[in-house]
Amino acid sequence: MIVYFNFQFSLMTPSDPAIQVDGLTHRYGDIVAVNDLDLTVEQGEVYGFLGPNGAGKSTTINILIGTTQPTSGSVSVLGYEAQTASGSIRQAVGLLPGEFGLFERLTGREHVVFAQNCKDVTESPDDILARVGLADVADQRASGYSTGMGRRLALAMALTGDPDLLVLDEPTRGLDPNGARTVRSIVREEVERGATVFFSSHSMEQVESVCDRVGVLRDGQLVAEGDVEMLRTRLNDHQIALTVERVPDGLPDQLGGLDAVSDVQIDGTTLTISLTVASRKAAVIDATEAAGATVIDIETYTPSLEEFFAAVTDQDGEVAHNEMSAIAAATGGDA
Amino acid sequence: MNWHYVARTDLRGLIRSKLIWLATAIVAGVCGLATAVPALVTDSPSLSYTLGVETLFIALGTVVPFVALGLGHRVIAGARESGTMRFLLGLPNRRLDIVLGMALSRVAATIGVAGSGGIVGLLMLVGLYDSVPLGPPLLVVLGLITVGVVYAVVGVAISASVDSSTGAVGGAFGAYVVLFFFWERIPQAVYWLVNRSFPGGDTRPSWFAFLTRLNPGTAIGDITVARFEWMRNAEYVSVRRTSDLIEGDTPFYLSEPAGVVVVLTWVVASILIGYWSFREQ
Repeated sequence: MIVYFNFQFSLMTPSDPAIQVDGLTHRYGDIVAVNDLDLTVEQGEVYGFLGPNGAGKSTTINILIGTTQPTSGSVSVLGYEAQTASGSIRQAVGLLPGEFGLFERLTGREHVVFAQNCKDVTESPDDILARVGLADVADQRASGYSTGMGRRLALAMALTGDPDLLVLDEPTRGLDPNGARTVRSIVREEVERGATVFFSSHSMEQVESVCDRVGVLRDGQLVAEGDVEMLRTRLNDHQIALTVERVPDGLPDQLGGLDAVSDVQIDGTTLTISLTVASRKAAVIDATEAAGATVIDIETYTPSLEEFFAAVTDQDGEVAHNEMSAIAAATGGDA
Repeated sequence: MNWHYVARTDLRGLIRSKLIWLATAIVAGVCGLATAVPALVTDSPSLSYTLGVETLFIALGTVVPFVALGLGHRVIAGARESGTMRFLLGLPNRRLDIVLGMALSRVAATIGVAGSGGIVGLLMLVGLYDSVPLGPPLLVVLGLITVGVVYAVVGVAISASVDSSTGAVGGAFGAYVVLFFFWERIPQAVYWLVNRSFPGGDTRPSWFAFLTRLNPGTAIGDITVARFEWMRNAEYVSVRRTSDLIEGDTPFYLSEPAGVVVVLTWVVASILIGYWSFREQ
């Protein structure tokens, strides 16, 4: 990056990350909002930035666009240093803020035109409003908008000028399933266009179908990161429920002695076996049949990412883990 | 350089608010009524004309600080509270764009509201009094609108330096008290600290006049209302020129150009202080 008068030009190459955060710490007085955070988002990627409310997501986002100065650490966005080139970053980034208020007396279209003017782009505001599903209410004042409509409008403002990076802070909050679907399809369209998407949410469900990678933030630190499948397998709680005609003597002990089996529960003729590795399910079935039991029903249970998320973001992971098992048992392993 | 987009957006919202139209109607009504009263209650046309200008001056001069501070005092704190600041700062706007744009919009609105009072007052003068010279009352009105401009910008600076609407109300009230009522006590207090007595007689030391002149309203009054002999010795208001406070020739810092400098300094300093406070938050 070179500094030339007051303008900064990004010298980002296609292989450079869109977002590079190193050792980022931010304190508000004694409160540590972000704690030594390292984060890399590649160009063209959809990155799910997950965490419960208060985990430090919005603070991180404010630092990414340069409106909040970090206590320490370095942040580079699209090749610009966030601390010195906030204007260039905000020109190239489309931001949907997590919490915002609309200009109550302005219409939806006027909001988009304002964003376009500030970004110095000329495009039809109506096309963008149609994309987010607000074409019909473009001339209504925002004071009459519902929460979901407001978020759609904020998304429309974020989309102005075809940004290289979309930073969406809780874009689906307050949206009905239909609205959330619109957001996800827009995210896919934007990535197809070549944009990078940084998608923050407190709900795993909202991001798992669109994100290439997910990072989970807790107390200002990344506690898990990886692609969706990898995170799923990282949760060591896979269960298989076998219903047999009769439970042979000694079978529970036998199963308990198998590799990767962490627990065996019996309820009548149903055995619920907890495994730390999903691939050991076949071995459990084989062992059961070898012991002389006739298996009449098999139900397997794989934890959802939502449960993974709950497990890693809960202060006491053990509790979350056990509760999850309880849920699985209660729902017959179908959860 | 997005200040004009910020200004336009803010002004558009203001124009669509019912409150500003209500304020405009009230200011116009009060000024029109105040200007008309002398014509209705006195028989002497010459006396009633100067009285009419005087009552317009009193009416407009009383409402202008309220209008201006009212429009300015919570614009930035309010944007922060309502959450529109998230958009203003999320888009590639500099903080100076935001302060400047907001100040411009609020100044424009102040000019509009105060101007409507002035125009209605001037129309009353023309309509109700005989052979009225329009120049002097026009200058009086323009002077008061300029006072409004300064108060509006001071209000914007307050709105940038407080963190809540409640703080903004307190700040605006403080600014009103200091600028409108308390200012003349400042040179008196300094005088007391130096001399351990309060000034007597008709004249004051030149530094006393200088401190008095630093008040934007006083500086504007010196350039506008106090130019006219009949306003200096008016029935209800006494607008002495600051330069009359001292003996001998008028020093440069009490001259009319110096008054313009005082006014411009208030405007520029307020915007810079507002920008600086906003940046620090």
